[in-house]
Amino acid sequence: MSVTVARMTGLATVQDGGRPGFRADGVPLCGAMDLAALFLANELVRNPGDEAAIEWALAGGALRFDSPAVAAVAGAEVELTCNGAFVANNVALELDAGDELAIGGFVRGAYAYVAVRGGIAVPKALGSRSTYLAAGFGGLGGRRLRAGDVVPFGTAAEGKRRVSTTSPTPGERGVIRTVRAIEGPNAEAFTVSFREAFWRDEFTLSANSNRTGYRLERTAQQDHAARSAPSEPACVGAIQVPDGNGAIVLMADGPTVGGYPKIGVVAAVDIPALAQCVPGDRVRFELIAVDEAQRLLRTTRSLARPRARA
Amino acid sequence: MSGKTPPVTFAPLGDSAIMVTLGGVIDRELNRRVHACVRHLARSAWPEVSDIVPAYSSFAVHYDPLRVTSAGITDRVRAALRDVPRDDAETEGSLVTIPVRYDGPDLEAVADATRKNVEEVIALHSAGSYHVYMMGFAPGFAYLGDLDPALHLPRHATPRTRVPSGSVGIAGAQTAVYPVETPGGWHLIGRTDLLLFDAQRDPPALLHSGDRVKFERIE
Repeated sequence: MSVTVARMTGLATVQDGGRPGFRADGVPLCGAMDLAALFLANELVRNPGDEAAIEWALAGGALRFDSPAVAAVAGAEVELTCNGAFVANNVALELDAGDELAIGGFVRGAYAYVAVRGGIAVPKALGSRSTYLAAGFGGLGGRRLRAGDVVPFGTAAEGKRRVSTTSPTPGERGVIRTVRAIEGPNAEAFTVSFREAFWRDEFTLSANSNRTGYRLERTAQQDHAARSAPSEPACVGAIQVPDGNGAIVLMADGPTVGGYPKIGVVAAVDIPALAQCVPGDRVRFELIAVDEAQRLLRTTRSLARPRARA
Repeated sequence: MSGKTPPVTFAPLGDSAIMVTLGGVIDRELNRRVHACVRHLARSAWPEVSDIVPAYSSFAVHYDPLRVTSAGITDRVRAALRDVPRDDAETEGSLVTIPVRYDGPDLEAVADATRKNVEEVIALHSAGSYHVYMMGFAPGFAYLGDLDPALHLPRHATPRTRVPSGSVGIAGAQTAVYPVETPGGWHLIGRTDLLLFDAQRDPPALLHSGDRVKFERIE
């Protein structure tokens, strides 16, 4: 069973819950930018939450189903049509062979997830179906989807799961997003006044942002004042401060080690909301304790990463 | 371990990892202690832990926060590190020989900048016995030290937008082979046909932290 990419103007790749287990070789975690939306889309079609789906960014395109299917679109709010008629986001759609599901404009948010019952069935690479564009592996041939691609999907056993997942609705333009974060392991490398300003100031997401990292800029500049140290381990959500006027938050395809000091690390529970920000959106960081971040994560439940390959 | 060893520190690296720091400098002995700790922890194969990632003087333990708390994993790692075998730090990793054609686009510029001729640059680079301090930057990218001080040069001020895979570069006290085509600011002195990383291979990376590397000149 398969779906054919009829048109593509956005950046679409196959992504699943990620690729833990290979970070010691320099392989990023990979996987969906908005894990909560991936889980929601999958649960709507009764797949396991971390099943592979099509992650669709920035602009639209269309899929033509070669076989009957159940599909759902979650995450970014998009103008969605089936054979030209508007259909809703966040619901399971029963599709016949030949139906065309089209994504038009992105109304809110940056990443939409198209899940199909049975899951996108490209071969696994290093334990995951996620596409890692920078090294050209995973997903469909290690590359972004383009018109004409035939994307296979599986025949899942009828799931018993009920939809219990929610994903944060991408915020409205112009509303300042609050992203909670834990103090970084070398936060003391920064002066007290630099840290105070960092947790108080407002940042704007730069257009120079992608699956590797989100660049945030602020108007107020301040001396950086952090010592240089040998490169250290990094992680998804690490808030690196390369200079005085901004920060780079490492995202799903971010490097496993890095040389810039980390003032904080975004709480896993708030990565989806940050991922859904679009250039120009304003963000403020709120410092919370690691215990609080983990409590929030346990209460959402939906963000369980797959286990590493044994 | 000597009495001058600085205390090991533990800190949360977000809510899904901790960072363990053994020191704050790039030093082969310190780095070998990092690798010894990582090897020792990896033997425990805790199901809550997905990745243990060594860097120069620190390492990360990535864990599942739905199965263990930050304090819980810190206590377990701290306890396990009390029994790191003393001689493990001296254990040498595998020796990997990488054949290199020394025809990189920066070879002559490196010779000029270091006041050597091209033959001397090649001789110095291929005479070295290198240590994999850490992996990172890209899948299969190994940070190799220690380069002969006569070849130390700062990175290019403006990185190349495309460095072909297989390129052999130098920067500062380091040398490396680019496993995939990426942007890069190192001085390119040669290339190898060996695949440093192949997602279809097991293991996918040719080099691993702690390995030793020799470069062999080929025509």
